Amino acid sequence: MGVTSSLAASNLQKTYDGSTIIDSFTFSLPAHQITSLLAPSGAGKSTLLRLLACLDRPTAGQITLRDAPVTAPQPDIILVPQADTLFPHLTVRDQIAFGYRLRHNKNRVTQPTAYRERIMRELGIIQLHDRYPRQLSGGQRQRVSLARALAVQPAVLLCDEPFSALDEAARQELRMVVRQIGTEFRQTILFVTHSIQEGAFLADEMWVGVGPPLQITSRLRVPFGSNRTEELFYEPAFTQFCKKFRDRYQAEAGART
Amino acid sequence: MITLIAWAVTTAALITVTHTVWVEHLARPKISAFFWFAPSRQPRVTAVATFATAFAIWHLLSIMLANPLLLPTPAATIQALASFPRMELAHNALHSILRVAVAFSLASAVGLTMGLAAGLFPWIHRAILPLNSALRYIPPTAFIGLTIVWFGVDEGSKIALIIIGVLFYIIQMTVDVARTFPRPLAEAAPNLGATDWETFRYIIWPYCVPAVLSVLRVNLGAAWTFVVAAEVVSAQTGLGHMMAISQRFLLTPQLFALLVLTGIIGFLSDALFGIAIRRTSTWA
Repeated sequence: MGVTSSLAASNLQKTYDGSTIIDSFTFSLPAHQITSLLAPSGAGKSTLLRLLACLDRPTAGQITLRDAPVTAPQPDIILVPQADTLFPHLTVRDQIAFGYRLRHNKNRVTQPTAYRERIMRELGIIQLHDRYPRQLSGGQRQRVSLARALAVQPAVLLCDEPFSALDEAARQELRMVVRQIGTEFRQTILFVTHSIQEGAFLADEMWVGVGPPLQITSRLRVPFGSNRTEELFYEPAFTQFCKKFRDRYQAEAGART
Repeated sequence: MITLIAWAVTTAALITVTHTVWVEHLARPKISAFFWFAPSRQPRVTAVATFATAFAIWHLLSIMLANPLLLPTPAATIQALASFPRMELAHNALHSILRVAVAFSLASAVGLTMGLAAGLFPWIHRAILPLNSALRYIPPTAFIGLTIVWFGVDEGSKIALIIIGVLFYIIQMTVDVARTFPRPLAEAAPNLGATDWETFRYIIWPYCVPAVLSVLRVNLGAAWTFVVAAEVVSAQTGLGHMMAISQRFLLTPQLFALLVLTGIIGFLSDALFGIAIRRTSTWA
């Protein structure tokens, strides 16, 4: 198990129009590792991420970051959603500098800082710095979204199926990128996905969720080390692990849905 | 000679339109015949050709009618425009422009503020939109007499009429612009650390500016309608005042000359808005 994270929730509850999506949900996110969460559609995954990012208010319960209550959106907990949220009037460079400028109370930053430049290079978007979102492909847009989130150096990155609208080639490229970020920046990431292979490739730990109301029923450690390449997908051990996870997922989630 | 040229221009325009409709919309297979969003290949040439055709048709109609009291020729209109004492014309045009500028600035400031507030905050929307919708349907020209009673025969009544004429439309149209702002973007900004004011200042406002300028562009035309209406009824200066005199003495060429001048001022202000919209929407 990873080190206990600074992001935690206790007795979290969310009710929409009389139906309870999340109820008495208590968890703590392992720090400096990638955790993937797989749960059936409608189980409450997206609701959980929106609550953690404070984009929705919980009906009851508390979210804490480094033991301090979190009650408003803040750049320490960034959500990268499935939907495109790039600001259409800002260039790639300005998107990535946006949160940084706010945090450092600067109106104009003419040169990217070394950190932001490194992020842009790592995500392969440094050559796109003066383009607007409409001039980018779907994969490039998601790279910029990730770079914009990482530029503010969040304590926790929440990813809500960010690659689901992309083709397989772009997905594979971005899986590599996210895995690399997790390893190099020791970034705490909670990654929601529907793909067992994607979850297994990305994560250090995989969670099975059921719901609604959402519950984490199993946690599996992923035994493939930190540095992973695309070849991992074709290794028998990886296939075996995915099968084992699938069996458990079907047994637990299938029984509830 | 002019008539021959007018016939030639009109015939050429007819052939060009027929040819374009055939080439662009009928002969070439495409997704839809109503593909209006494709950029024109030569927009300036098209615009000049349209103006030339309009003048040619005007000339031919005036020749056919042969009655300058009903419809003067374009040449007679230009002659009439040149016959006005230049200082008097400039003085009156400037008065109208100033009235529009002052009233339109006030209406824009109030209308944009209220429209953005109603577009972004549901409780403000619920509070002011029903009343605004009711007021929008009252014909502004019905207020001409009242504005004179309320604000006197001087500038106040004219400025008030223009404001009444455009304010409620600016509010409604700005509400519509603000409500098109995508909600996920409004969530992304605070998530990156922006306060409500910073979200508005750096994200919502720049996103809305091109559409807001389009709203103002449309309503500036309406403002000119109301300044002329106010000046025709009660004014000692302004293009509307000159039009009223021309009407009274049946000086149709002079009246047409003033209409053309108003059109030119409108065209120039519209072109300025066009430049501003292009500059603020390079990202779109």
